[in-house]
Parts: sequence; C-alpha cells; structure tokens
Amino acid sequence: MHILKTFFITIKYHIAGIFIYLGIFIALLVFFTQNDNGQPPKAFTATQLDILIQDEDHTVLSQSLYDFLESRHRVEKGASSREDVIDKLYWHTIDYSLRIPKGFQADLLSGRNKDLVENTKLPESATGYWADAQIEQYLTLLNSYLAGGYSPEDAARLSLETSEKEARINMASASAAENNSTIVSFYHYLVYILISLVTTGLGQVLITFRQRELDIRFRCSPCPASRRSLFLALGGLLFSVACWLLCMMLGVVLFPKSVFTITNLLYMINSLVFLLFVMSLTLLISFLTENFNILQALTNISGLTLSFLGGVFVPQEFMNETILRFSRLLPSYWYIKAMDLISSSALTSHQYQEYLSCLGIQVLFAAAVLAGAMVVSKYQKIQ
Amino acid sequence: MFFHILKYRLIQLFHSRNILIWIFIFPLILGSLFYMGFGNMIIDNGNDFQSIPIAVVGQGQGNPILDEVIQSLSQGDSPMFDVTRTKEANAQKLLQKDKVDGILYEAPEPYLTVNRNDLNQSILYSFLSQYIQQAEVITRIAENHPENLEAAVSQLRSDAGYNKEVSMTRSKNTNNLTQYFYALIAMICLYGGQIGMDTLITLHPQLSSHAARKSIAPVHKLKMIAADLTASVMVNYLSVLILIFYITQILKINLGDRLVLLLLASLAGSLIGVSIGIFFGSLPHLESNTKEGFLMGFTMFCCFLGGLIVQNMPSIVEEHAPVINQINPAYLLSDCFYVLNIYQDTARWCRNVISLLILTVLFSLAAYLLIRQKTQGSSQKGE
Repeated sequence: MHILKTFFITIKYHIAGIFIYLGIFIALLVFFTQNDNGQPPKAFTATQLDILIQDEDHTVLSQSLYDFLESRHRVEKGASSREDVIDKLYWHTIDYSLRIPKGFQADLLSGRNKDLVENTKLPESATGYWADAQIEQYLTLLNSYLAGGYSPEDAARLSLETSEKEARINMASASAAENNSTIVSFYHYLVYILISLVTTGLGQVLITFRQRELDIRFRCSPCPASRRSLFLALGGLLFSVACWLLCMMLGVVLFPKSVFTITNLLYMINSLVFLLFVMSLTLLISFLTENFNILQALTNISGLTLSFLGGVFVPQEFMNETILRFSRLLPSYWYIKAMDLISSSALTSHQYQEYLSCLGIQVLFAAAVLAGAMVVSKYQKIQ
Repeated sequence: MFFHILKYRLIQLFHSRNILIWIFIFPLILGSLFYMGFGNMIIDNGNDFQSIPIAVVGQGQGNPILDEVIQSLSQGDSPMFDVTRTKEANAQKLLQKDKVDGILYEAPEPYLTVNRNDLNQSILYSFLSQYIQQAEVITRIAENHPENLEAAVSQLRSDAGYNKEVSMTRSKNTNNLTQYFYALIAMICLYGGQIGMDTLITLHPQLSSHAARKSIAPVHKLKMIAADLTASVMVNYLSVLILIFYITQILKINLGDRLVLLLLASLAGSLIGVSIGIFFGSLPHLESNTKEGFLMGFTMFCCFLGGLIVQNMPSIVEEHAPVINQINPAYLLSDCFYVLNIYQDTARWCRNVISLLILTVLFSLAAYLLIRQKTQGSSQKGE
C-alpha cells in the first residue's frame, strides 16, 4: 500500500499539468457545443447566410431586393470598409457582401440588365454560388414583371409574393450522425485528451519511480520487485480509469439526454478499449526517456499524430486516400471507424461484427505496444 | 571576442536536445500533421462549390421541361448537379447512405426529399422553387398583361448577369485553414522564448553556476550579452526559416509572394519571442521550472488566441475584445502573414510589425528593470 500511496502523492505533485489538459478539453467542448441544441431537425429549413448589404440607391426596387434577402438570410445593413469586408469574409463572419449602387432602379427601368449590383465573396465558394443564384433569380423575377408592364411598386410587391412560392420538400428521417453530432465530437476529442491526461500524469510517475536513486532505495527495501510492479500497475490502472471516468462524468453534465442510450454505451466501451492502448503507449513512452520535457514533447507528438491521422479533428471522409491507408496502422483510426459505425445508422448484425473487429484491433494494438514496452525495458536493463 | 562567444553559444544551443526537439522538430511534425489531417480541404479549399449529387426519380409521364433543365445543369466543366436517375427504392437507399444530397421527384408536380438541413439541400430547394416561381410569373402576366408575355418570357430566359463580382483580395488563397500555418509560424517565433530564458539563465550569475563562471571572465558584459542574445535570435530565426521553407516548398502551402516582407515579419517574431523569454526568465522569487511553466502557458495562451487550435479565434477576440489582439504577439504575427497573402497594401503589415517591435522593447525593458532591481537588492544584502 505504501507504493500505491507514493504513486498518488507523485500524481498530486503533477496535478497542475493534468488540469491544464482537462481545461483545454472542457474549453473545446463548450466552444463546439454551445450552438447545438442536440435536437434532430424535424422539418426542412433552408440554410441562412450572413449577408452584408450596402444600399446606395434607396429606391423601391433596391428595397425590394433588400427585403427579399432579409426574408431568407441574416442581413447586416450599412457601409463597411474594404478591409472590414475582406476580414469578415475570410473569417466567415459574413458569407457575402452586396452593394446596390446608386442608379440601380433607373438602370433596371431603362432596360439595362448587366452588372446592376456588385458582390464580393470568397472565390468559388459554395455559399457565394448560392447567394449569386438567389439574387440573379430574384432580379430576373423583378425584371420580368417590369417587362410584363407592371409599375416598379407592383413589380416589387409581386416579386416578393412570387418568391414565396416554393417547392414542396419532405424531410426524411435525419441520419443518426446528424442527430448526435455533439456527443460524437465529444468522443472524438476524447482520443487526444485521454492520451494527454494519461501520458502526462502516469508517464511522469513512472519516470519518477524509475529514477536511479529512488530505484536503488526500493531495491534495498524488503518489498520485492514483483510487488512494486504490481502496485505500480494497479496505480496506473486506477489513475487511467479515474481519468476516463472524469471525462465520462463531463459527458453526463454536457449531454444529459444522450447519455443513457445503447449508442452511448457502445461509444463508452469503444473509449474504454482505447484506454488500454493509451496505457500501453504511456508505458512505452516512459521507457524512452527520463526527461520530463522530452516526455512532454513525446506526449504532444503522439497525441497529435494519433488524432490528426486517425480522423479525430477532421472527419476521415475529408482525408487524403494515401494518408488514410497509412492511418490504418494507427489504433485511433479503428476507434473513429467504430464510432462512425455506431453513429451512421442502427447497427445491423454485420455492422455489429465490424464494430467488434474494430475493438479487437485496438486490443491487438495495445498488446503490441505493451510487448514493445517490455522489449525496451529488457534492453534497458541489459544496458 | 564577440564572435568567439557567439560561436560557442551557438554550439551550446545546438547541443540542447530540448531546444532541438521543440524548436526544430516539433513544428515540422505539427505542420505535417496539419497538412495530412486537413487532407483535401487544405488543397481544394473546403468551401469551394462542388457538384451536388442528386437522385432523380421519374414518375408517370415524366416532366420533359424539367428534364431538359436538369440535363443542361449536369453538363459542362463544373456542373451544378451530379445526377443519378434511378427507381424510388434505390434513391431512398442512396439518401440514407448519404450518397446523394436529395431526391428529386419529377412529376406530376416536382418535389424534393432530403434528410438534412445543409447548404446543398438549400441550393437544390432554391433551384426547384425557381422553376415553380417562373411558371407563376408566366401565368400571372398571361392573365393580366398578355400583350407583354413575350417580353417577360424573354427576360425569364435571358442569362442576364445582373450581379457583378468584385474581387478585393490579392491572392486566390482565401482558405482560412491556412490560418493554422500562420499560427504555427507565430508559435515557433514565440518558442524563441525558451531560448531567451535559457540565455538569461546562462548570463545571470545568480541563476546558474555556468553564468557565475562567465561573469568573472575578463570580457565586457555588454559584449557577452549582445553575443548571447544574437545567438538566441539566430537559432530561433533559423528554425522559423526552415519551417517556412518546409511549408511553402515541401507542403506547397501558398503563403503569398511577398517573401521579403514575410521574412522580415518572422524576424520581428523571433525578436519578440526571445525578449518574452528573457522577461519570464528575469521574474524574481521563482524556481526555473515555474518560470518555464509560466512561459509555456503564456506562449500557448497567446497561440490559442492567435488561432492555433480554433482557427477563427482571432475573429472572435476581435469582435469582443479587440485590444487583446493588438497586444497579442501571436495574433500580430499571424495577422502579418494573413495581410501579406490577402491584402493589396501593406499598411496593416507595417502597423503589426511596429507593434511587435514596441512589445519587444517593452519586454526587454521590463526584464532589464527586474534584473537590475534584483542585482541591486543582492548587492545591498551583501553590504
């Protein structure tokens, strides 16, 4: 028990570093989940863009165009500097900027229909493409009513009315992936956080226990080496499971509605299996260095590598094919693949088998890394 | 003597494993991970418009006019739609598996089925609504102004081009994922703080035995300080140059074509990085581990606000507390790189570089005052 006690005293000494990672995790989660109500969409609602409109004409027709866009999008009115527009577009604060120059109505009435308004958008962006299409469509309606012999006031009114005639659209049941997007993000980021928490905390304790002077003191104590290893392993297990439980409790607080479901249970099992790999990895890393700074570097590099290449930060579907082929050599790839299987739809028996295979592969990775750690340890003893 | 000290300080820095890992190797790994993790989004720009995959289900007699429109919109170099004509059951399967963004039922009155509220579904919805709205315009004009029907129809069919695009940016690379690379270069500049702190420790006799030995050498103090600080900036700047070369030449990320200004901003970055390290190193009454912790925390916090973890963080800060951006060296640096790539003029680049130089002077001055105070305090104690 003395060893276990010393283990946790050492953990306490390094607790600040552990809390920094936990803080980052909470900040990321809160940031990414604040705009999501977690409810699946029941009816279709068109995407709303953020559009900046600068109306310099102030006429019935320019107001009509403004009203049309305002009825569909989030519109910000008023003049903005060129610098401001560029920054807002780059940071996606706005998706589109429209300028209605003076003389717009006069030009339209005189039959001119080329370059009547000016827009700025991100080159070739999908949002820009859509806004272009809508504005073009509305001005076509307006111009058609004018050509049809209506006054500007009537054309403006009728165009707005006509633009409200919309196609029938049915909403099929949303895919499970969309339903659970925030809790899926939570389990995705868990990969990086588990690696950071366990490797930082447990790694530092293991390195401390292996320090030469402490090791010599242990050797001359009546406690056999096997007992020391056993208690260290028990301490490591307790600490790792405690980190995992802490994250799960965070999940309960953040997603109380999604926690008590079969899907969440499968997510939890998946993360618990991944924890085995993280523990093995920590053991291996602790054998590679005795320097806390280098441990920190290795923790960051392994955590970021497994996260970026496994599809934690960016969905696997957006990743390059060649990179994905390499990613199969990483357990995080199989962790995310298992997550995707659970979240894509209700599991069929075939998919369930596939899910179990993903868990099995992660266990094999854990075993392989553990074996690697044993080899390194043996080699160091010989040295 | 200046060059002699400089040479040995450089050798000493290049022998530090800690510095080699954090300053030279870690950024290259992180840059590669960004590149591999973002996959095709960093190359193709994730916001670019891509053809929308749809399933078209013909019913009854079909709809020849709509058929013709869909046909014309699914041809050419960058077609609007990627059409799969199929039976309803298969279309439903494709939708469920997210292989298509929507199902378009052609007749008798066209309608859509989608399974989520995204941009592509909105574009699809807008397209079909346009078809219905044009029919409405024709009906209305045929009823009220049949004499103008021909003119109205010709307006509806004309490809007018009412909306003119005005480009405001210098480069076509408006992909804001590039922000991660700007922030990475900024981070490495600020990592110069580790070298700066190490340099201070080797210069200040009260902080290390090495410095105590150096202090009794028959060399002018200013010469020694100048040589050591030059070496620190040189090593940090070298790592920044390697990183810029790697990002632009190996990863082929477009950082713009103003290389000289980019390198000048990076040099200002190395100066501020080293000066921050000197400032933290000179903080009184703290262990060197604690100082390192503070320095790392400060650096990472600045980088977080500068967009290293969440790329649009600078825009969020700009909206809520713009003053923080003006004093955050990581933001000032990444904004320098952004401005060079996007803006035509360099006024903002100049403002940022001047702010960085002012901050460098302030940090150095603060460090000088702290060290002076400590030295005076020590000598008074000695007396």
